[in-house]
Amino acid sequence: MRQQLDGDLEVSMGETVTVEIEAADTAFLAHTGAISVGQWSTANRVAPNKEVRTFVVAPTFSTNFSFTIGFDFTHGAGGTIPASALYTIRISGSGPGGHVRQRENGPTSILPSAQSFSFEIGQG
Amino acid sequence: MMRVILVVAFLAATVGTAHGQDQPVSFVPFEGTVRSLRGLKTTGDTRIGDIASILLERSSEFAIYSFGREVYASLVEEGRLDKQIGASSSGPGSTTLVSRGSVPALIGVAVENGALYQAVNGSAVTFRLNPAGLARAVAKRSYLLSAAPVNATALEQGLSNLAVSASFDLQKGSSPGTFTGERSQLTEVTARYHAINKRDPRHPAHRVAIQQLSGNLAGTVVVAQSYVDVLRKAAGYDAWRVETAKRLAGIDPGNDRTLRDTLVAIGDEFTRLFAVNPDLQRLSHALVGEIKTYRGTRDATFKAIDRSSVLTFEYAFNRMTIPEAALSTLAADFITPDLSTARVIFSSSLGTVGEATVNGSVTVFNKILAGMDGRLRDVQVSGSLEFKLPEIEGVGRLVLTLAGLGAFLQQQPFGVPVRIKDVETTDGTIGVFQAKVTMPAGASGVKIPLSMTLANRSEFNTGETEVRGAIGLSFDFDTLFARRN
Repeated sequence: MRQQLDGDLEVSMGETVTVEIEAADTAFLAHTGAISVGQWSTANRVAPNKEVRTFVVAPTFSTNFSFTIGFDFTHGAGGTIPASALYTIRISGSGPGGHVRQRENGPTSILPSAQSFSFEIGQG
Repeated sequence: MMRVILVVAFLAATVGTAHGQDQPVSFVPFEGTVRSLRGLKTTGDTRIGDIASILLERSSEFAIYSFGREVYASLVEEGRLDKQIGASSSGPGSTTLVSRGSVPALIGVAVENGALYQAVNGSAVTFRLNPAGLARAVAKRSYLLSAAPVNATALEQGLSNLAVSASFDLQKGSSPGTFTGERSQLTEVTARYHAINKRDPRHPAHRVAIQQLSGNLAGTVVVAQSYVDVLRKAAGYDAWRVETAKRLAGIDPGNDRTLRDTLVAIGDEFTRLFAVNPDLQRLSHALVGEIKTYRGTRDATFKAIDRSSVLTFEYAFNRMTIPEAALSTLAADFITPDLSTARVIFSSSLGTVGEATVNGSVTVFNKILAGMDGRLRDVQVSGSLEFKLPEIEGVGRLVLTLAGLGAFLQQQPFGVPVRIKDVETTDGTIGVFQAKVTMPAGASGVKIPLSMTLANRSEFNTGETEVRGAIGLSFDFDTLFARRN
């Protein structure tokens, strides 16, 4: 996986892309939508606070595709969302390039929030 | 008394001034974008690519911005009101008749002036903290990392349920009316432990409900995805992202005002160039609608969780205050015995109306003086009904609390008879009724409790009915740090 100048993640045909979403200091209140023109291969809740998904780039995917994750946060025992509440999103690929995209998503004044990730199938 | 009022007024003014002069820059609705930008550690073209990606990742924030301030301001949510920062009911100066179960996650400070059933005028400063949270904050050098980890060990989880507090009487010490923190001002130390608290949505009992709620995010996700799909087809969008990323790469993300002003300019440009597209306008409306629809379901789920009961145990060490006028009637070497109180606190929801809390406590003397009949001092039972009043715009929700307390003094309140205002203290039964209104000061974390208390007598005054007013001020640091994240 490589990163293009416009920020899209360039992936290769047949490459397996892994998306990890891990929650800290919040109940896992995230929802990952369908790939715009493509399909998830696996989706597993590997721990109460962590989900791991994969897809394999196939000819059925469009040249450009994306997916969106929705996030919300739960309050702690004290009644407010802990300041340390956080989702960490890590996207990595099995193909050439070795780029890993990691983002942190904390609580904001407007919830739920959404974060979209876009891809482009390269020639490599 | 005047100095005490000045201290309270000074603290109130200090909090107000701090907010007025050092007003934090608001990044609403670009908070997610800012967080992502500030999390970048890359340089050069990689950084430009990262920023260009963030502009697309956070396109829903630009969609909301395109509505204008009025619409997105209405989406901003405020925190809840449900913590006791002030002294427990037994402390002098407390405006709280019935102790509540909840505590701040990190630190809370309260200043209160008045008195409850002891009838000793006092002005108390209470510091209440969660030692596990504070230890984590100190160890990690950040308040932001102070909460218990998700995969906490049983020991960590147990410590997170523990809170301690210390209350100081400002009337005492070398400089009456001023908080000095010296030992002679210390009046109460408490340790509180949540034995049962299912109000945390992470409790295993709520796992299914939280999973179902995650599914309710689907509507928001589908619309946000559709917005991205249309946006990516807009002529010039990809080129705009790259040029805008270059502009953002040239500014210091740590400079709040520059970053905010730049994002506002970018948001305006985005609105002018792309968000005017009818399809994107329709999807923006749909996004706001989905957010509101989801919130309706979420709030119902959280309300159900909030209705869970809380059982708390508390130990309080108290140093009693003998009124100065009574000191002359006591032997010169008389030492007032300290008190230990064991208290059980049970809170349960009253549906959508508010909350009911019941306290039961037993207080013993830590030392037996000559003439005393054992250690048992009193048994107390109290209850309160708390009603959330309709929200006042710009202020928040006022909370009305009606509380009653029955105290059964097994023997003399000081252990031995003491003459106060020519009346000798006695044992007996005390009945107290209190009405209290707690006013929040917007989302500042400041709360002002105002109470009126009626009692058939006080502990130290057996001769007449007592009617007292009290005012307080509390500041919850959790609100501040949660808001600034």
